Amino acid sequence: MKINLIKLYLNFRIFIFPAVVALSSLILIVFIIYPQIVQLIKNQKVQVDVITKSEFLEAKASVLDDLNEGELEAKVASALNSYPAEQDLLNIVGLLQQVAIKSGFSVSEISVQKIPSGTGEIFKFGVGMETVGPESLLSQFIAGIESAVRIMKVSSIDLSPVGADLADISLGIDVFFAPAPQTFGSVDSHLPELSQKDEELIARLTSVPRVSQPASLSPRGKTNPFE
Amino acid sequence: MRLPIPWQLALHYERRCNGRSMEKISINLLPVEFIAEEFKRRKFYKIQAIGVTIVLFMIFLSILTLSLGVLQSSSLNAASLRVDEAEKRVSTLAPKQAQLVLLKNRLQVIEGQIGIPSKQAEMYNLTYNLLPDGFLVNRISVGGEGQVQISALTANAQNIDRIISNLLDKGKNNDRVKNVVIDSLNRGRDGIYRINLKVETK
Repeated sequence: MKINLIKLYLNFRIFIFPAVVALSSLILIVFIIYPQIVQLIKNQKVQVDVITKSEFLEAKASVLDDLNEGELEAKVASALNSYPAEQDLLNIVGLLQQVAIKSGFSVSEISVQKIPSGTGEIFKFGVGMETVGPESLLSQFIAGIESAVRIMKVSSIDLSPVGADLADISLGIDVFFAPAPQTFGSVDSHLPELSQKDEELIARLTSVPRVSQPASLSPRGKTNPFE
Repeated sequence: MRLPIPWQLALHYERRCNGRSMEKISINLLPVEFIAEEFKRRKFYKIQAIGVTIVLFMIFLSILTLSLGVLQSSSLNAASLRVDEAEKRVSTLAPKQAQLVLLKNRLQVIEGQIGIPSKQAEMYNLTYNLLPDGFLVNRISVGGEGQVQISALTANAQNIDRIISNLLDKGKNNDRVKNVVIDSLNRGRDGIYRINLKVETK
């Protein structure tokens, strides 16, 4: 048997040997070379993506590191002072009183007119204000309300003159607020950039001091006046 | 002398004469089958050499691709470690990111609202400034849509014409007034005109 095989090989080795070489080459190509080359190409793309991602994250971390935490907190506080996350009734009352006094008006009543309403991300609550003051200065008073740092818009005006350049004025004011966003971006998300306009606006907001709230209405004096 | 040369016999002879090389004579006495066998063997050796070269080349390629794969996976691991570290760094700075996002979110709205007068304020100012002298206002109301209602007195009928033409003049009303409606107009025994106007906005 062995001798026959050897004889067979010797007779046909000129065909057998190339066939063996071709078969082994094919096996090497199919099972090793081709899959490895495909994997190399795939991994090359993955490597490029990974490197890009790591550069992006390192740059992002560097930008966040450079931000001064105290300054950022102050800026956020100013922005929230102007457009807070919740209804700030006391702040509004104090602010409206200040604006009224500055414009020469006296406030007789301030009321919250309705429950908050809003669509999307912007909410507002209505404030009603009854005042008395010079009719000729009403435009200035309204401009003072709408240009205040706190975002407010006059929604209705009712003017009834009661004397020479004196009028009873009833104003409806929409005061805006918005709950904080639910998500603040992921690790992969891009950081928002503050433009020159944003910095100017922040400077304008931070230049106005926060309105001091009106004095509390707690009772004063001795607890027992007969002592 | 020229001799015929049979196909199985190569006849070469060499004569040296006075140091000069002449024709060479060699006689191959091997059998034909042996020569054919020898030819086949040489051919096979050539094929064998080529085959071995091919196999060695394939082995070399395999080793090369495997090595490149190993190198690539190690550099990929290093890059992945860098990404993990950077992600950890960004995660620890998440509060700052949150503040920045909140700040930008607020600024975008504030920018669009601050210092911009409402429609109601604009209509009030417009109407008030167009009131002629001698037109005594009893009441001015500005509603939610910016429509204005004026209740006024005047002794001069021309003031009524004046206020209406002022309100309808596009040059004076900044193209904000759509319509002016006289809800009521009457003249009392005292000669005073009492008028209720409604100004509709665009």
